[in-house]
Amino acid sequence: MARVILEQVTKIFEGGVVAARDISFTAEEGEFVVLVGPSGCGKSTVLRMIAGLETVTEGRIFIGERVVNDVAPKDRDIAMVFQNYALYPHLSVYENMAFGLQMRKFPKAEIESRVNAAAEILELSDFLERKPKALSGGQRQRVALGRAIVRHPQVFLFDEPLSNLDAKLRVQMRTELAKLHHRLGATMIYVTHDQVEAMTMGNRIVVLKDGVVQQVDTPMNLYQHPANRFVGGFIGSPAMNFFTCDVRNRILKLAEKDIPLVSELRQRVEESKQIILGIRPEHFIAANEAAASVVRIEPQIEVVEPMGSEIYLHFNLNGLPGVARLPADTIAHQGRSFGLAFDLTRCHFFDAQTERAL
Amino acid sequence: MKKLLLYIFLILFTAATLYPIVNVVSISLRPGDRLLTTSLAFIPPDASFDSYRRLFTENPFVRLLLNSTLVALAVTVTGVAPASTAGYAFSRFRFRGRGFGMAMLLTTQMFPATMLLLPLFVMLAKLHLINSYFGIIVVYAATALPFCIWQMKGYYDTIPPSLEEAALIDGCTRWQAFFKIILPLAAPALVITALFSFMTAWSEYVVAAQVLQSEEMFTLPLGLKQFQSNMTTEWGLYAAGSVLISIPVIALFLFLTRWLVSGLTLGSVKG
Repeated sequence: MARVILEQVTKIFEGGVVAARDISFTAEEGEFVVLVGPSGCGKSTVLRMIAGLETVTEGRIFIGERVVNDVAPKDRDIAMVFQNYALYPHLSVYENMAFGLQMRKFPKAEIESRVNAAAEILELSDFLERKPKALSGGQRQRVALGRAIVRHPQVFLFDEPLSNLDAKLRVQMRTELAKLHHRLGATMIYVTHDQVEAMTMGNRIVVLKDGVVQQVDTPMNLYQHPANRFVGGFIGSPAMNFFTCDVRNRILKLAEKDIPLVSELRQRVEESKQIILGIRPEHFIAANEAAASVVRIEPQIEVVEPMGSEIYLHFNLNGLPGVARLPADTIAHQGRSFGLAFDLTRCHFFDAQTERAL
Repeated sequence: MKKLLLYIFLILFTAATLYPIVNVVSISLRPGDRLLTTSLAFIPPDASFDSYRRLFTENPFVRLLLNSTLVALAVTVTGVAPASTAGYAFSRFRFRGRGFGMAMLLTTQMFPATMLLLPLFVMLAKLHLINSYFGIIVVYAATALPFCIWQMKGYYDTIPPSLEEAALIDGCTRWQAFFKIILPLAAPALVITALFSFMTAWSEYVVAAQVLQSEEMFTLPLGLKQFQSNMTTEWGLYAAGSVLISIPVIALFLFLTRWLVSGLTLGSVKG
């Protein structure tokens, strides 16, 4: 186990493309840190720099006490699971898992016991003689995982390891990985574009956009206190609703509706300024069930999406699109208006110019 | 109907391909130097292996065979080794002059060998490499190498780079990742490259005729030509020699086909 520290790490590719700028965060010993962001945000590049597969243009990366900027991947004591598995196709499952140990000249008996133990955990014992092409996608991914865990490395790196699996298998493997982390207690850095994976697996999450860290926090803090509009919109499904409003005389103007600001909000919101109001879909309630203190709106319902356990109402509030998540027994009709309510104290406010949270 | 036409087409082509071979075998079995015959029999009525016997007893065929084998094997080794590494570099690394280098390699393939004869001769003469095995091996290797490099590069491009990245993390150096992971997967391309290099040297006549001048050094194609003189041609020996020349190439091909399999990288990455 080791701590991984990134200190103002920047990566500029040939031709001047900046893939990562001033990335700083720490993955504590035994912590499960998730790097999340949309495709092209630089998260894989950051992981590859930690692995040593990409050079660092500026900044320093520590694994344990050591600066590893110029250390070869093989000497960093890390293991990596690739998105496309990257199994050695000409070697059997056993040989694939044993390869890293053989390269490090481990005694044969030790290799055998480690591979067998890993195969047991990953339920691969019956497939050890097979070649990767004779395995299913899920089994291949488990072999890739096995290849990493037999090494007992200081740090595990995962580059979107579940994105090639089907939805059911992905949920299953997610649990397996969480169990594995619990069992091994190793430092793990995990890259994904899937915010559900990030929320469910990470002790802490690093949200990236355009190569820049947006926020580093625990899943619940990211959800409850997003640092900016991007994080607010990225975490949570369906995504947070954003409404641009004017503030005048301590009144918030939302689609022709005047909403008086409660006292604690007055300090945060400046006068005569445009702000963005963020409301999570799950923070809407049906107006008929709402207490008196809440804000009521009456938007047009455009699409009703029953999800089984709940329904999503896609609405239009004087030209502003939005979505509300309500209990499954809510009765709403497409094309008609529907009374919704929300509690202003649960809303998020962002500066319309900087998009930072207020 | 469509199938019938296809079969007729295929049969005609097979016949056109096989006829010269059958004819050469047939001539090699005829006693004397009968190039032409009115008989349609594949094996002539008075067939004998006399020409084959004479090749080995009255002619230096064994020496020619050894010379050719030496040159062809040397060209194969000097072709495959640099092509497998140079192709890898062109496939995986981005370096200054990469595009230019690739283009230049391709350009060398655009000149016919006869056009290059004179400059090659002058160059070899200045280097004192005329009438030496080393000279002919250099020329053949230089001729075969650009194509081999392109071929290997093309094949490496189909092998996912994440395989050697996984190997690097698993404890390999670049060289180890190349030798232990990438090279075994490139076996089909290596086989084709080896065959191409071997055949470049094995059946070449024009350059050999300029570079090799003493009879002791002659390769098979040069030796065969000797059966042709101003007045007569010893067609029996010529044909028997031709048949024997083709046998090592066929044997090598059959031997190498075991590595000529597709889908070696199947299962390594998500397809």
